Amino acid sequence: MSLSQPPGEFPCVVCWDRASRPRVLDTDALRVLPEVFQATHSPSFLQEEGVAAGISLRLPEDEYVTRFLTHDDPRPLDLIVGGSGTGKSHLIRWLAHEAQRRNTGAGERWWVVLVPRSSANLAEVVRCILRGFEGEVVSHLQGELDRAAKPMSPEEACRRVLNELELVLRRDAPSLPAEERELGGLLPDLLRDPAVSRRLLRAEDGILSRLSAHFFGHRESVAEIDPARLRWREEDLRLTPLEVQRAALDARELASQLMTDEQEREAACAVLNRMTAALSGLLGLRRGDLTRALKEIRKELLRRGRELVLLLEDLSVSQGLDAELLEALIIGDRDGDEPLCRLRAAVGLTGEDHAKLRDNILGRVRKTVLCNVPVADSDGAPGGLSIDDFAAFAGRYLNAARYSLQELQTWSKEQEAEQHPLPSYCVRVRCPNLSSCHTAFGSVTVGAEPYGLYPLTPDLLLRLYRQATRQAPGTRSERFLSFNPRRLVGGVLNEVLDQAERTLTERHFPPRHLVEQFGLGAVDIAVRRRLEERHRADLGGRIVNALELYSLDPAAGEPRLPPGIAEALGLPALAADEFEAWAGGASLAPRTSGALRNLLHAAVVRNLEGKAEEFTASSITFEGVLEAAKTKTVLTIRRSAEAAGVLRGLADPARQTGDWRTLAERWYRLWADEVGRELGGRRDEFDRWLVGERLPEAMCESLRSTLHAELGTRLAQGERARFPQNAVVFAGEQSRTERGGPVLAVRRSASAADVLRELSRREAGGNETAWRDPAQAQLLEWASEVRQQLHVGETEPDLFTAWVSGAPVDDGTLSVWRALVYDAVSAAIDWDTEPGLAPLSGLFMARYIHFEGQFVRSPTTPVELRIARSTEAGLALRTLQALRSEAAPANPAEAEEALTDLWHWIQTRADEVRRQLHPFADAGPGSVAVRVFAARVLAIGALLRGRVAPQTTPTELLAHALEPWPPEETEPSERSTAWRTLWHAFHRHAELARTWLLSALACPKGAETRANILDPSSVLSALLEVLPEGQPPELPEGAEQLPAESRLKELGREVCERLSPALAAEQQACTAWAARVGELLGGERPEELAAVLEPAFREAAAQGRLLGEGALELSGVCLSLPHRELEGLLEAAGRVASLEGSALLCALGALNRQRMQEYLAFLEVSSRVLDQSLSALAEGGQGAKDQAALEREIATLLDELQKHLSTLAQ
Amino acid sequence: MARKRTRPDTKTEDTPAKDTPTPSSLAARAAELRRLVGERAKRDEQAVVAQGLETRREEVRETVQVAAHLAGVRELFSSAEIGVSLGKSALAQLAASAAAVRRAFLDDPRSLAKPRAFDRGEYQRVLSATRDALVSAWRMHVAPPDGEGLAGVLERYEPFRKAALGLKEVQQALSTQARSLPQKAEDLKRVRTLKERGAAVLRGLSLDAVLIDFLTRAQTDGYGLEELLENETLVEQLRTTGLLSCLRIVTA
Repeated sequence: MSLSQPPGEFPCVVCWDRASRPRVLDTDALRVLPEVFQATHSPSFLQEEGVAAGISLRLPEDEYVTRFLTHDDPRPLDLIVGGSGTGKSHLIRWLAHEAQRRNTGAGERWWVVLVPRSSANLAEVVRCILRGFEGEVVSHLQGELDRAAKPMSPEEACRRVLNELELVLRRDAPSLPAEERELGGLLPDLLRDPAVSRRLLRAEDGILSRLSAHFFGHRESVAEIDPARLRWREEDLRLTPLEVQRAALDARELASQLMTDEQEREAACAVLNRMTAALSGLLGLRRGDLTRALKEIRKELLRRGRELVLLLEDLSVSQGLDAELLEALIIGDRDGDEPLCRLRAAVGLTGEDHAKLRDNILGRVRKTVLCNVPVADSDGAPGGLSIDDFAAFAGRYLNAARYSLQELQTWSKEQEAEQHPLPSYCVRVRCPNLSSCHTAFGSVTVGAEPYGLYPLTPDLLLRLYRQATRQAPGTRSERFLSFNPRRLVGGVLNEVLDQAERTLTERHFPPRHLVEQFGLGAVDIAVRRRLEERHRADLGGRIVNALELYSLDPAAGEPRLPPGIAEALGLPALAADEFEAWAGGASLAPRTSGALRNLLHAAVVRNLEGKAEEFTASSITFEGVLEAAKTKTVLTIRRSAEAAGVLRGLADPARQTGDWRTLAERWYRLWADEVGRELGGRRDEFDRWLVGERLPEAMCESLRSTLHAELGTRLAQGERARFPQNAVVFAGEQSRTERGGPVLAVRRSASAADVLRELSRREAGGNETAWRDPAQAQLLEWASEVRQQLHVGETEPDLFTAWVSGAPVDDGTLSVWRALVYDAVSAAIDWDTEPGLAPLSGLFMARYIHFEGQFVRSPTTPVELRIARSTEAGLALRTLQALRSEAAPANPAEAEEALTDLWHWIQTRADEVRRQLHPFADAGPGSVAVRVFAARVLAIGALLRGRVAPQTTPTELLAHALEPWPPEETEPSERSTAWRTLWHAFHRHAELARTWLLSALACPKGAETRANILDPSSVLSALLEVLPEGQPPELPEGAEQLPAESRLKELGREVCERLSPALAAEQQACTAWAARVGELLGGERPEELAAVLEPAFREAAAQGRLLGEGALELSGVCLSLPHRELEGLLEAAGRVASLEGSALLCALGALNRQRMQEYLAFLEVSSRVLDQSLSALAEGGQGAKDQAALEREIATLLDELQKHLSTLAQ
Repeated sequence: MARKRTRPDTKTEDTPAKDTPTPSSLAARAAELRRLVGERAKRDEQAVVAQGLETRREEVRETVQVAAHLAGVRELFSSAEIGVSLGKSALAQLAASAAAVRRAFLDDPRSLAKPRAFDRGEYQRVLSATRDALVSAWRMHVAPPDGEGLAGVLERYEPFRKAALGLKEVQQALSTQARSLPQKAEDLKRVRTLKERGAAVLRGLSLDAVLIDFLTRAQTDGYGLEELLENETLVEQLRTTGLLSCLRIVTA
């Protein structure tokens, strides 16, 4: 096959085919291209059930395929069980592929029928099975299918489904289980009802629409064969009240129940789902047709001497016929007395469908193959997928994606006879980056060729897959407990390559979006900040992203990229200097290497025991440093952290401390040994290994064992158990595909060679002597490397890093953070001296500090602090936390820097708080205009209450204004309505306004004003005239910003609106009172009048001659009234007519209106009673009768009486 | 000391403000009230005396009317020689009492204004007893000795039935007269006439006492045959008067 051009050299290479990548990695497509299927096929990870319950055994794919095609078991049916995306369809396609491929060698033994899940509809499923046969039954069925497949509108298709369902219900309802029978009997009428059927027919993506698509439509994506889509769901029957109302009588009762009762809906769905499985009539088929057709086919195949291999990718594609189809697939080799051909059937189905299979089916199943294979270490299940399995699986897809589709097609055609893996793209195109790429990113060997994993690594694959299948917090699902190839390919590989495509050439890879998408974000914020400072912000960000993806331990204090990654991605080395960068894989500057060479030469020479004429400075080379016109190399300084340390000290004498000298001497001796061996012709395998040769295989095995044992003594017991012997790999050794877990890559270095040499000597029977210092250091370094790998992922990012990276933070932590930020920001604001802020300190509260990511209700306060996720914020919080816990800083210099950063961060937040407080300060206590306004308003209140004498000084007036407004004071009912309204306004708001003014005038101390030491200077002058020009004070500008708690806005508005009407009304009332009282007094003084009235009332009352309401009390009232005081009241009331402004308010407020009203009432009642009494007396004034005549009459009568009595007495 | 308030609308030189309250002023009305109340108090006191006297007058007038009536009856009885026994001492005391009242009244008319100044009850009690005595005497005078009983016996026997009816009418007229005291002399004369008419009816029947006894007993307890047969006169009278035909012998 002809191949495209090799990719360019690193960095930032896109070495996959942009056009084919979406097709190769597309997991949504219903039909996988055959060439892609072939190129990406990995042996499926299968398990079979053991004998004991709950035991699953690994089942090699090839073994299973062979057994499936050749077994003699009378049971014809295999079940391939797995969740969505676990690869059951892939396995069944692979079975078909293998059967076809092996057919040639087996004399065309198998008639292979594959019913793909891509079958357009159920009719297509049946056609698939019948294709290639012409028997009587088969022909009949094909005719029926053709008739049923007439073109029809979507609505007609839905209606046919509905009618068929109703028919099946009427027919089969009597055979339903007893508990469903009654409901089943009612459902046909419900489905027939116009109102209900209209709803079902018109529902967008409703059940009828989905079912009709299944029977008559055309599937286009994987999602469409989701079995759940073909089931009735409770919401399909959730009728509305209007629909129930419109339902006919025979359907209304059930409709009403369905509307209100969810359980009833679910019960109805169960019945309908049961009936939906028997809708074969829609295709014109009668029950048993399919079974008869299959028997006919099998008889025909028996005649032809062939076996039937019937493979159904997904049972759900046959819904409606599935029950009958399964029945047909369990028929053995005879139909009664008639022999049938051997049937080998495999059906893919979900675990849920598997659980529903009836016992008669399960009893005829030969083997149940499980595709649900757990991922290694996810639950500790034995036999799970290892990191190498992941890499091998992904490697095939990545390799295939590097080819164009045409290249894949060409290759596929060449594979008809034999199955070979797709050649490695990296090898075939002679990729210039192969070595460094595979070293940095890793590769997997398939066949005999390495598939590069770029731009992923095995660790990254596993990590991203786990993130992609991670369950949301608080949820529990078994969906992704098993390996899900669709998720790995579609969710991880495709996603990473897609984003890499778009960002690599622009040098933006890895983008932050990728990190966030997978919920990574473990790089500590301090590291991030340091990197962003050291490099540009965008470049630093990319480095952080790279660390998130590729670092073995991104949460470590000094995370490192594996060697070669930074170079491949065009990122600067993360080294602090060029020596560290060199140790990590970079080159050294020519000037540096030149200078070091001489110094190094001199140092090594000092340690040489013999002559060394051939050893010159120019014979020293540094690993990774290209030099032209080189003389013979005697000593190669290989990359290692310690070697870099030695070189650093050589380059900078200031760094040559005692420790360095010890280190340097150790390495000088090693290098001197190496030079001695080189020059003395004593080069051994290890020297040759150092220059690039491989160690002999037998020696590798031997050294592996001894080195593993040696390192084991330097590991903890638990670590030792997790560090297998085969994890040790020597540089240049063949790839070890079976490895898993930690890997100790023994890189070429003098110290490594020294260790291996010593191990080899001991293995040969040499005496065990103490390890030399360089060897000891190397062993410790390796142990450390192993330990680091064993603990990868165990280091969790701290809360601050997690928050900055987008993780949620619990409420308890947020509360602590709020308190920290509040204390710091509050302390940063000088509430006492910053103008106007002291009384506003209460506006800024800890609970109004919000951190990005927390749920925030709509703002309830005008001053809030929102802390966005940022490195600076995270670092500041961390520093605050450290300060609070009084933890001693590990590094004083860093602590000082952190404090400086914290100071700036807090100042910025404090400025933000000041900015928000500013409007309130301008419209609040800090504003003289507002204070004056408040003082005037409260002074008006004091005048209103009559507490102020006309000669009162401003200071006294302020004192009166700041007196509490007694809550028990009752409403002055004798006053005018306007006056009373104003009084109520003061009654409601004056206390809060007073408190606010006290606070505003108070001298703050420590942001507290509770001491109430007042500074009234700003308002006293204004109180000389409370009502300038007779007008109430107007609300100051920006009144909307007046502090709500002061109630100044409300009180001020009331005063503005009510004061003038109140004064006018009261003035008018007083004038009227004076006039009326004067009229009633009739020129008398109150005291004089009282002297006349009181005896008159008393005497008249005693005689019962005082008439009218209130008459009897008049005398007492008259005695109780302070008539002398009334004289003054009359005078004051008469005077108000000529007053205005403050004087008027003062006079009106001071008037005893209650007394005035009492007196007027007394006079009015007196007048009325006098009138009534006088009138009554006038009416009763007729003269007495003639008493003399009466006396005479009586005398005569008495005389007569005496005479008559005398007569009788005679 | 309160200052005198000026009255800007009424003050003129001719009308001094002080001590000259307007007629409708409170002070003036109060003074008027006080005066009228005083007057009305006096007038009320006089009215109370007059009221008492009026009441007494009515009481005396009522008593005088009763006494005058009884005195008139007494004089009729005297003229008709109808004897009657009256409580003369009580009447004499009452007359003395009335004289004392009259004297006291003439001395001080207000003495009779008091509620119990004239003991009307005592006068009524004595005069009532006097009246009862007069009525009793009158009834004694009007009622015949045999009364209604003889007429009732005779009307059961056919031969006397007509006479019995006449007798009965006389008796009923006398009863009517006996119910009320005579007012004038004609009342006495009418009684005398009726009595004479009754006596005339009896005389026309020639009934002796034995026969009347027989007729009475025969109607009530029965009259013994043996006793009847022993009295031949009686039997003869029965025969002559035609009574035998309406008599019947029954066993005891």
